[in-house]
Amino acid sequence: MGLCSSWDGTISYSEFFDAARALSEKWKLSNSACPPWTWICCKKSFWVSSHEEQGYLSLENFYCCSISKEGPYHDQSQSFGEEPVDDAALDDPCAPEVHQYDFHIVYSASYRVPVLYFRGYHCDGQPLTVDDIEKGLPANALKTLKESKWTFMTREEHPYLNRPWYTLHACGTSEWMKLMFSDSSSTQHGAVVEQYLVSWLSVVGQVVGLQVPLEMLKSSNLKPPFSSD
Amino acid sequence: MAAAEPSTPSRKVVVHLRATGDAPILKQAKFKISGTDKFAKVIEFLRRQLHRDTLFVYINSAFSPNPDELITDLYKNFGFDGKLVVNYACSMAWG
Amino acid sequence: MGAVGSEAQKLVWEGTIPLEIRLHESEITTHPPPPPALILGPRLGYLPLLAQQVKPYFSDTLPPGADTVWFEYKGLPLKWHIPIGVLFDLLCGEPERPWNLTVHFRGYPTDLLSPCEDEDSVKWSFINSLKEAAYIINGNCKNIMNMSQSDQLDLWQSLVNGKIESFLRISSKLKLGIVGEEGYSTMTSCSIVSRQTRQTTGDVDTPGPNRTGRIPVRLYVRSVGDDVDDFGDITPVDNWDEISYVNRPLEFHDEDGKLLTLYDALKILLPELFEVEPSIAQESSRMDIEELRTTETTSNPQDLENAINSRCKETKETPDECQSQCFPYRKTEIKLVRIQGIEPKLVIPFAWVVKNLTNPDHFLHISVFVNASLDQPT
Repeated sequence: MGLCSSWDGTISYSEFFDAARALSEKWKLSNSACPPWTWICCKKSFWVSSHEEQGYLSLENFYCCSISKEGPYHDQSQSFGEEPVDDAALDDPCAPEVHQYDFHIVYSASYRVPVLYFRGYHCDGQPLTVDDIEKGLPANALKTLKESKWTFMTREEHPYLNRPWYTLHACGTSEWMKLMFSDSSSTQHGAVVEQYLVSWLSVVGQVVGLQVPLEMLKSSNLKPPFSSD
Repeated sequence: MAAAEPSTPSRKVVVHLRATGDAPILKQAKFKISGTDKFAKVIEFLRRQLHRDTLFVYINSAFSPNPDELITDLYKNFGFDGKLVVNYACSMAWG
Repeated sequence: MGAVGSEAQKLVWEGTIPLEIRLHESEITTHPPPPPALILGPRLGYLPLLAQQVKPYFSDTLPPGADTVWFEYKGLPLKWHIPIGVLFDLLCGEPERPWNLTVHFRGYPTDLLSPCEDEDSVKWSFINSLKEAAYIINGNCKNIMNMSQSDQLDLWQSLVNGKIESFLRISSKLKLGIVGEEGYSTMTSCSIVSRQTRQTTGDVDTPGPNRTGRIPVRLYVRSVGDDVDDFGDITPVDNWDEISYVNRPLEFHDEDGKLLTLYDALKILLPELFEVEPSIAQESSRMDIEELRTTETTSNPQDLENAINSRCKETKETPDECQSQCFPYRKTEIKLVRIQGIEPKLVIPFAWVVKNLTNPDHFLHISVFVNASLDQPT
């Protein structure tokens, strides 16, 4: 467990920037049917002349269709998967169950971890209501939401856009990130950074129905440490 | 939930459940599961065994599989020596 | 000890802003229009909490419908999760008394403001902010997450009712002592100086406050255009995009263990504004703590401010020299720094500022006015 005995699961802003680039590249390679993750550069502060590049990762116009949910969550969660943007979809753009989502991954300087912000809208551009959003959530996420209304997912100010977006609370993130990497055999912190956002998205994506392809998760840098016992 | 009998013959995969953090160790830490089952079945099994709704389940090259992934796909990509190692912890804090 | 606030803390807790609140004309259905509500808004409070008090003034004239209360100032919808005092400091260049606000009970601008259903929304916004502060200070939020229901409720109620003693009694259990609950000297030894000394003496196991070397700060930077002398004349903010909100904890890695001043802190937080280094920074950093204790015996905000400014005089520079030496920048220039309604000189030790001027959510909210002109449309 080389690297991680003292690592607390957090990353710095510049590591976030590197991790964002890695995620974006891997996503493009193994998920070409899906909109890309792009880095949005923000000249956040008008009075900032030459500071480090501020910004966030963005994936917009992601189509999700929500169908009625009955039964256990795992039989349904795939209904929330991506819809390729093709002509067929454009032919029938206003099928009522198709929702469009924008996802932003923003670095939190307080928690030193990435935070997901998202919003959804109907295909006519009308924003989704809380009810619409809830209907679109995989059932296990919906359950968490019901149990912890204020500490799981709420609408908060988007740090760069000054508008209320849905966000997933980040105070536990460093703990499970640390856990996930705790038995990684890699001693290279750089490899962890490289993999960080992909691993993070594999967890966070499950809440909002954004699936990370397995090919992206196969990392040559992080070999399974398990030796036969 | 998928039927207990897989519809197509498929290679069984040994899933090795490994407690991390403060999670209790299971008496039966290894079991066989059909490759055509979804990962959700593993999660369900853990929930029943541990009597907990919120679990953090992940695979040791640092990711948490989607419940919809097929065991066979996970095994192909992350299996080792005929088994798939699945880690579980009791905390899954959002807050 | 933890439950006893300093004089300055008490002054901050007692601070109110006289408000003159009118109902928006679109919601007036009677003639003549109802007179404005004149009430006091606690600096540390939140606007939606005033709804109960304001509603009776206007309930007879409102059109039918469900209430969704929100406030605006000169056309700007006010973000309810920002404490009232901070909104006032930030949006009124020249303090306006009473502060003229408009209240709406209909037509909530959902695209601009986070939803606020009831007091619970405000309470949880506060708790979540407290959690964020706890994470910054301790590296986790366990103390907040594990707070008992009754403590959580009492903490909130004491904030709503302005009861500093009961607030401090509960919050001292949360172990969020950046400054240390013991007061000023603890701040000096634990969080700023002894990060070094503790290591050198090998006494590393001491569970001192502020293990992370980070202090929760929320900065609101407002541009007031060039050549503004009179803050009464500046253009009102009509869009939140004009305010640059910086949510970045202060991280200090102070090598020689000197005391940080407010100037030093701002320089760390907003390095872009401090490209020319004035000599005052060195001088002002070495202030005697014992001397500063005397500032805590003030009795009103003006005294508080005077006391702080007199600190400045006792250093080698006069306040005016401080000002001019502190701000010789190329393009952007800080015109004003305001915390809890006062405009402290920058030579004041940051420890004192944190100890006394921090909000109940454990964030230090700082409004900064700069004279940069907006060069990009938003």
